[in-house]
Amino acid sequence: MPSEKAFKTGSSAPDPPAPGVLRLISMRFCPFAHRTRLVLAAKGIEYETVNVSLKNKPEWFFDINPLAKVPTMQHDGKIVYESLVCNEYLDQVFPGRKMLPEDPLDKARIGMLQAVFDDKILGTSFKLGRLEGEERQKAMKVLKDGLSILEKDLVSSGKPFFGGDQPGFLDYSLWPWFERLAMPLRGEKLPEAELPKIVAWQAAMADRPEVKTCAFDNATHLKFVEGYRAGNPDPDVGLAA
Amino acid sequence: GVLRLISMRFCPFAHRTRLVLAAKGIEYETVNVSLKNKPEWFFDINPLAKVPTMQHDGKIVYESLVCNEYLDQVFPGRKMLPEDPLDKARIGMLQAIFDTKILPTIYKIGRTEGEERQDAFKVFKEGLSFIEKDLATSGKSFLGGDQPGYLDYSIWPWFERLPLKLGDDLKLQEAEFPKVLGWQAAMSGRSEVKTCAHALALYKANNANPDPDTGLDNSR
Repeated sequence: MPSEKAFKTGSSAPDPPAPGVLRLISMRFCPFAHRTRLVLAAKGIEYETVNVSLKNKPEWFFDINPLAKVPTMQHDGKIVYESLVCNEYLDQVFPGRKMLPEDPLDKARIGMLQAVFDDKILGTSFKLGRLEGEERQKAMKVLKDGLSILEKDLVSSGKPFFGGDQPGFLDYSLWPWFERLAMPLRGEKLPEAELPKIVAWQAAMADRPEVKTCAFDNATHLKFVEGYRAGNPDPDVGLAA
Repeated sequence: GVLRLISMRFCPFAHRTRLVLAAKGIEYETVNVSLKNKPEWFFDINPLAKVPTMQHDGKIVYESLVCNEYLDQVFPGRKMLPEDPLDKARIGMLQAIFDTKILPTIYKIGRTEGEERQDAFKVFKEGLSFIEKDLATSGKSFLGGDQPGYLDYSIWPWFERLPLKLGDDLKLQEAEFPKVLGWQAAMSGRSEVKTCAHALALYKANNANPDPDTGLDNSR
């Protein structure tokens, strides 16, 4: 079975994927690549993974994607990168449950909620782990403002997921940060009284088989993040030596 | 039935949506807002209080590229986005290259001097080479093909303002960027681009003295 160990700077390029084989270039702890791993799992798409170090990027990676970012997909000579571009591509090209709605306003709703998440939750959750005192309080307020907008959407729809009765594009786009939330929240839970639908959504997502397939536990995430903070992220945390 | 665009005359993001509205011949009314001193009522419509924001029969849509995709799907006229999944993905990937390698360097060129500015220009040209390569590969005049599309209108606002950033000293060479320069000229000649454009002098005046009403009659 091919190794999950990350290719680093100085490594030789792996052979291109065989015809018909979808290859995902990834890094086990990257939340953006996680988005695409979730959609691949949810749609039951077969694929192979090549993991790369993002701190010490292999030179051959730049030849495939000039931005050398994960996720990057290779499929029958085609190259697709950018997590949400990958996810939309997979949704359109592969059969199975549709992740994106057809209706223009429903589609726009997904884009707007994504923007709220990007503006108020994504960056804030990265920062929170490092902040103290008043700065931390301010960041927590921004996070909660963002979460309350997401809460309001679930209350309006009355559905368990942003995609409706089952998770969709937006659920998988947001999930990686919620799986890692224990770290910025320092073990605190989201307030159920203020955010009942979001708390229920978090539990429902955690229970999904495709989420479990792709998940790492809090301890493993923490180990990676500690290495990252120390300037020495280890993409192979948890793998046998 | 009336489409309202909440906008700011000099915002490049709102400019993206003004271009698509003009290109598709969509009728709309505009309400301009200050982005420095945002009206409180704006937050009730869009919690991020950013432009562009559209109001249409009780529906609210915001985020420039979300607005543009919505307009493309809902209104008739030339389609701005391709149907084919790989073509659509190409648009998303080039957008990411623009966002990561071109846009930040344009801002840096505008903000720095001397060697730092020269370095920023060099990185800007590296990013621009991806656009050059894409146009050379397709052989088309526009990123959207024979006519401008979603991506052309998405990046145009910064190219309209580019001469101010480059000034007299930094120049894109025809030998290095024949397709991009051709694209810039072709876009400038488009009627929808002219409809939405501001003269460089007006941008310059606004940069010197930021005021959303720069150039408007004082009696407003």
